Amino acid sequence: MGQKILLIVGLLALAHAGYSAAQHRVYVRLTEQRFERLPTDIIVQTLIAFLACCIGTVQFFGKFKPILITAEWQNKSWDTIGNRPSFM
Amino acid sequence: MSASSEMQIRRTATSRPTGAGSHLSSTGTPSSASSHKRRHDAVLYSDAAVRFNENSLEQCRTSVSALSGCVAGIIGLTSYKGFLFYGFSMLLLSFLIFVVIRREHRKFFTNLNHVFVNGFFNGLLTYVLFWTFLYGMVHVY
Repeated sequence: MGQKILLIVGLLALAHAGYSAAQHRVYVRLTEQRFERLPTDIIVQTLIAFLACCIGTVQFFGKFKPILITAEWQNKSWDTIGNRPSFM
Repeated sequence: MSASSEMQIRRTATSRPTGAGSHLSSTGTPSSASSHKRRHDAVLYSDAAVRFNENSLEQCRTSVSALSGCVAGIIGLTSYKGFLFYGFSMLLLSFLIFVVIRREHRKFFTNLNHVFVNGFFNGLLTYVLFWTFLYGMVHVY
């Protein structure tokens, strides 16, 4: 649950940063200044949102299974596996 | 029988359950049928789990490369800096995965190269797609 919240917050922050970057571009174009770079706080917000989204993604998608086949056999006894119910 | 589909369990003469999985990592033949001794270097992998791990890793990589494409487009990176940022974001992803599975990486992957090196350029086209799209949306329109 916390991972989903982290992902959603990160994506919203990224969208917000993108929108404010676009608005800054329009403002610079309207006041006829030269555009050199984006304001620092937008860049910082974008990078922090990127980091949060990365952590959320790795936690959300990064579920691995053990690959040794004996890992899932540790807890099974022969009685469980060798149970073969008869026909009648 | 409650065994899953990729493994079969046969009883040996010593009545110890061993299995023949569908993927054998050493070059020996399956040892369960006729020999009474257990071979110490035969390691069995479950190929459904290997495929699942590769799938998870690929999903992580694709979504992180899409995200970093968005970030590069918003910030407004151009030419070589953009590709450097892609390399940086892939390294960040590998580092994050390594932190998550640091204790038990032998349990999930046969080789750590799988995590770091193999799929490095897989997400490059996705990255460029999102990068150009976001750059166009933010800076051009």
